[in-house]
This record gives sequence, C-alpha cells and structure tokens, in this order.
Amino acid sequence: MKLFSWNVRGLGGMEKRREVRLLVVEKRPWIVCLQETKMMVCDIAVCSSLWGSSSSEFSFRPSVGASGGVVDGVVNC
Amino acid sequence: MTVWSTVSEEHVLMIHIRFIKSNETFFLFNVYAPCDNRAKEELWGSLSVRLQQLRGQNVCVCGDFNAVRVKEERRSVRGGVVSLDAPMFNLFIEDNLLIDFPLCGCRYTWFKGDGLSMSRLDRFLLSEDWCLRWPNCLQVSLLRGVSDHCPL
Repeated sequence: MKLFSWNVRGLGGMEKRREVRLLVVEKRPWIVCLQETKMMVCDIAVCSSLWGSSSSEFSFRPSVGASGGVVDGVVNC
Repeated sequence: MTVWSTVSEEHVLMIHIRFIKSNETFFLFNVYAPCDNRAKEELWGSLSVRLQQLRGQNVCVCGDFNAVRVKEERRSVRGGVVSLDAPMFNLFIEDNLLIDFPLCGCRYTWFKGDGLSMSRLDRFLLSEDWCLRWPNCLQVSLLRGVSDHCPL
C-alpha cells in the first residue's frame, strides 16, 4: 500500500495540477492526501485532472478564504 | 478498496477505508495544521478525542503539522531555537500512542525561499495496530518541485 501526503501550496494553477498528476502516474500511489489546496470548490473535473480516470473516490474540505483546504484522492486500487 | 465514510473538520479530513476483498478497514487523517500555537493546541485536542475513540484500529495521521518535535528538525537564520510548539506536539503523539518513524530521503520537508530556513513539518504517524498489521512501513521524501514542501 502506497500513500502520499503533500502540501502543494495551491492547486489553482495548471502547473501544480500537472505535477500532482505526474506523481500519480509515475509513483502509482493508492491514496493521495493534499494540503493547502487553497480551493473553495473541488469538482469531478478538477479531480479527474489530478487522479485520472483510475480514481475511484475523492474527499474534499474547502479552504476558508485564501488559505487551507485539503483533498484526498483514492486512486490506483 | 472503497471509502466507507468521510468526516471533515476544521484542518482535518478523515476517511474510513475498507478493503473489498478482506473486509479490513483503516482510518486515514489528512491534517493541515494552522501556524498559530493556540489554534494548533485546539486541533491536537479535538484530534485526540477522535483518536481515543479509535484505539485498537489501524490509524494513520499524515499531513503538514506545522510543528517540529526536536530542535534538530528546524534550521533557521536565528539558529537552533527550541520551538514552543514542540512540547505540545510531542504530548499529542505520546498521549495517542502514535508511532513516529524515520524519514528517508532528506532531513527536512519544508524549505523557505531564502535557502536558510528549513523544517521537518510533514510526517506520517501510525497507530500500533497499523504497524502490527503492516510492518516494515517506509517513509520517503521526494523532490519538492513547484511547492515549498516535499511530497512524502
């Protein structure tokens, strides 16, 4: 079982999302826990750009104002 | 593997995972602790209440704790100043019988832009039951890329 934890310091930009996606593709974690996403909403479109189509589920806690926000993705399992 | 349930609290996202084949379950807490020491103390308190209810379960608490355990885990321009948050964080780990295991890869997980300040703010903490069920766990840090934190 491979778990990932990463404070990404913002997930709004495409560069960050691409980096998370690369991590998922290369390292094939089962679950990814991200912190400081700074996102008020995290929909299926955002999550599939992170986890890809292999994603089974995700959970999200929105940021309050400009800081905070965590998201978990259950992938590659 | 399927998500059984999710609980979202301030600074924490908890998921309860079940393996479909074996029916085994575990609890995963994703923590993003605040910088403020008082807010952090409140978080350790509320997390402890949850963790005490989960004694004897497979539990993993991971994330950015915004705290270090010993002065060797922090390097700054001011030198090795003992952090005020370390004793509270240590008490939280000890009270909840969490296992803090070594990090491979690099000593610090967060790096400030000045290149002089760095800390071990991110970690995985495991319950005893987790370690008995899945022994030989390894914690590795990777290159941090575009963030100021390394992924673990």
